[in-house]
Amino acid sequence: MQLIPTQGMPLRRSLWLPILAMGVVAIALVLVTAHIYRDLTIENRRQAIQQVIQIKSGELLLKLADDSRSLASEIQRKPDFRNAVDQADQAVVAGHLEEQFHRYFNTAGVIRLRKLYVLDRNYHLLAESSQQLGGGGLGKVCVAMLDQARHRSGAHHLKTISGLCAANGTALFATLAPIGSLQLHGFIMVITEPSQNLAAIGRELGMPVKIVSSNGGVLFQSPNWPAARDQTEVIIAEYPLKADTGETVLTVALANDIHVLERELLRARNGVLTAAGIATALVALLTLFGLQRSLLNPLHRLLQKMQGLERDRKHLGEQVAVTGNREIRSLAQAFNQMTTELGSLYGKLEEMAFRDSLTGLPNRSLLNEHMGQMINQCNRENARFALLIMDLDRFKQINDSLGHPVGDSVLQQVAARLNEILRQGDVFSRLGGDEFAALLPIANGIDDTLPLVKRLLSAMGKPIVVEQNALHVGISIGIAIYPDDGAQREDLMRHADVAMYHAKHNQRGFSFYDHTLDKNSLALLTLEAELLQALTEETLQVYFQPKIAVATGEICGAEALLRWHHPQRGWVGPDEFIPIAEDTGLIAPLTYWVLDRSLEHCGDWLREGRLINLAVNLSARCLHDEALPLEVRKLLDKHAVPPEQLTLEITENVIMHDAKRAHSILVQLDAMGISISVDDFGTGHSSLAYLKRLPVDEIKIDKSFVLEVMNNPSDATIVRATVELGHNLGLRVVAEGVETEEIFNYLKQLNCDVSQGYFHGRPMTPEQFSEILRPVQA
Amino acid sequence: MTHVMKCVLLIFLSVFNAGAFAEPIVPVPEQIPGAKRVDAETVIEVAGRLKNLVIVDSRIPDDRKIGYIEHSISLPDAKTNCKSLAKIIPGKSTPVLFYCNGVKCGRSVVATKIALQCGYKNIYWFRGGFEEWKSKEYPFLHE
Repeated sequence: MQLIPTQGMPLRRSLWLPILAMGVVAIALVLVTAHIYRDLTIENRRQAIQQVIQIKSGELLLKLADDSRSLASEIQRKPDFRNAVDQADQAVVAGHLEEQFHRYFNTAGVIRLRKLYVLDRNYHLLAESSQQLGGGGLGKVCVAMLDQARHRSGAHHLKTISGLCAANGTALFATLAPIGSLQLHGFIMVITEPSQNLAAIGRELGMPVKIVSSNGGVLFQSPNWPAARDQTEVIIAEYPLKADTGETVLTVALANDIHVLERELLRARNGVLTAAGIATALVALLTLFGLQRSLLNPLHRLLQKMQGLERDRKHLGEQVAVTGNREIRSLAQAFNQMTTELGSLYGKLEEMAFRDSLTGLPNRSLLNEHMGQMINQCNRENARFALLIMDLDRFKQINDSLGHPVGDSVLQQVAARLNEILRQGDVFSRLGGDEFAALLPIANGIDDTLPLVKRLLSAMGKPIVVEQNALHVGISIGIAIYPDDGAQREDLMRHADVAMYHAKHNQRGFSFYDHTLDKNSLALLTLEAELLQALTEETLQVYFQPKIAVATGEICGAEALLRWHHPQRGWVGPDEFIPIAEDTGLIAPLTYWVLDRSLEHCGDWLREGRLINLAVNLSARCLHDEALPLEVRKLLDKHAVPPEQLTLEITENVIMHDAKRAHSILVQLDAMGISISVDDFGTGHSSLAYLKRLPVDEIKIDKSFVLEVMNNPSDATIVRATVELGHNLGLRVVAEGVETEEIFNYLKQLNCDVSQGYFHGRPMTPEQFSEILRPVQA
Repeated sequence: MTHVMKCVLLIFLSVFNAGAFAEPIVPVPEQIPGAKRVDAETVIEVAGRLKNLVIVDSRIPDDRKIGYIEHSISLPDAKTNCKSLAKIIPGKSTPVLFYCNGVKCGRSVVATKIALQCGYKNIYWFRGGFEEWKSKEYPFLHE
């Protein structure tokens, strides 16, 4: 199973969710807290009100007790009352009580008098007011209190006691005050109803009040006491008031409207909720901001960098700088390290894949890549560029004769020299061997490239010095323009190649591609392969042109000439294929082949007694071939031809430019007895002094002079001077291009040694030559 | 609540006021040699036992307005001398009891000492005075 990157949640969202959850939890906490707080607040309020009831009712009952005591004081103020008590005169006391009761009952708003009793000093009922009190007589009302009073000792009987007591569902407040101050005469018991007094709590606190007796009877209720259905919005605080015995006598309840409180609580809750919400949002934002800075942004940058790398390896080695957590920073550091290592590794690989190791220049692959990019760019900008293909002339000779290290050095120097001339933005590449290429963006017209091309050519005009050898390395440049000369990379390359071959062939240095070149150039390209084929298929032939001894008029020798009868093209001249053979290295096998064939015929003729001197042309390349003397000797031996019968012709240019190098070979050949002839003499700029030092036996006056010798006096002078000069140096002089008898006769006059030309015979097959050769004398 | 606070404040103020209006402070002794020191309960006991007990209120008349112990005769200390004492006390051996406002009030001390000098033999000194009487919730009379 393949592991596919999952459709995972983005980091940002996975951070958002817990933060959001935390926010929700925080708000829920606030709500719960607010609820608990509300309950607590209400409970506190209730307890506070209860405490107030406790204190206030205590105060009010104290006041009631005070008032009751005052009443008792008032009742006993008259001495006759005290006397009546002392004398236990019930009628007087009762009458007195009745009077007092009505007086106080009517006037006192402060107490609600219910009953008055008078007791003797032994707590026995002496008299009572006439009002009926539910629950029966003294024996039934506030019994506990009386019991407590009765059981006091000594001076304590003088103390006034009071307290709540229940009687038949009604709450009463009793005060037992002594009659007399210093001496005890008896007691007055004042029974009041406390509910009215206690109701003052409500008035004082501004709250509705309700007073309920122990059996649930409502003793007092404010008119604004909330109805049962409204009680959700009020706090009902109840406080039970007890008798000394501990029994609850009545319960005071206050109703507190919590509308306002609720509103305040709600406002507080909403305030806290808003604050919590804002705080949560702020924390979330801060957290995210922090994470964004310390985690998300750096991660994003790393990711972008990686994606950038994926798109373009050029970014390898680029460092990414991130701030953030330690982990992120070490991740970035690891990333930087990795990308640096990969970058250098990639650079090496690229170097290996796209660079030529010898010159350090881009290789063919990289050139192709650049060309692809340039094509795209030109298509976008509607621009053009030039492709130059450059090939060194005669490089193979250098390699073959001086060895590969020298060749490599030449290539390096050529690369450096050309690279110096090219501009920034040009792409210079070594395609392989001695072939270079350059891509030149064209700003204006095609002619833009011309100065540069000329500079490249002139740069190669100066010799390259390797190991103290000054080497003349020419260069041929073929130029193709994109998109004029090809819209495809391959076409462009091929056409630049064609142009290069054309330049090489015409020895013009450079050539722009022209579609008419194509045919010829293609032919040239194939010629090389065909020449190789010809060597093996024997479509090549050796022809012989007779050389006449001017003195005797007889054939003294023959020049072996190579003819190629191409199956399709017909006759191909040496001018056409010899340069190709020289450039491709085919010249050596070709030379040996000619030597072999011509010596074979020569040997045959010698054995028939027909002695002739055989002349074979040597290419300059052959003079670099150390094996040449040995190979020539082998062939001479093979065909049993004495070396004296062989003349090797070398052109004057080759002698002048390469003889120094070829000196030893020439000396070896000379030592073998082979004659050396300087061909095309007069076309080069020979130094006679130099020529003298060489083992040269013969000079051949170039046919260009001889052809016009009868019409052009200066040519005649040259010919004459050359013959004289040659003779003075002890050399044999041969004239080429003798086409008429007139010329031959003139040569006779000049004492020229040998004559060659159509007048004596065109190049002919060995068979034809064999026929004109003087038959063997019987 | 506020009421309670008010009460506390009032008590404080009254205490300080009492201090402020007090007579030049005469250190009130624990005992007066020759006089029997009594408390409220003993006063009631003695009054019950000795029918001829004369109770002398040594306070100024203004102080007496807040209340007085039954049967007491007002004779401020400033007016106390052998002559004025003789008017209200039948004989030198008649039991006599002096009181004033309380422990900070020196009037009963002054009166007691005068009575001793005058040669009264059976002297009771109610050191706690009216304050102790009232605080113990014993009944008293108003004028």
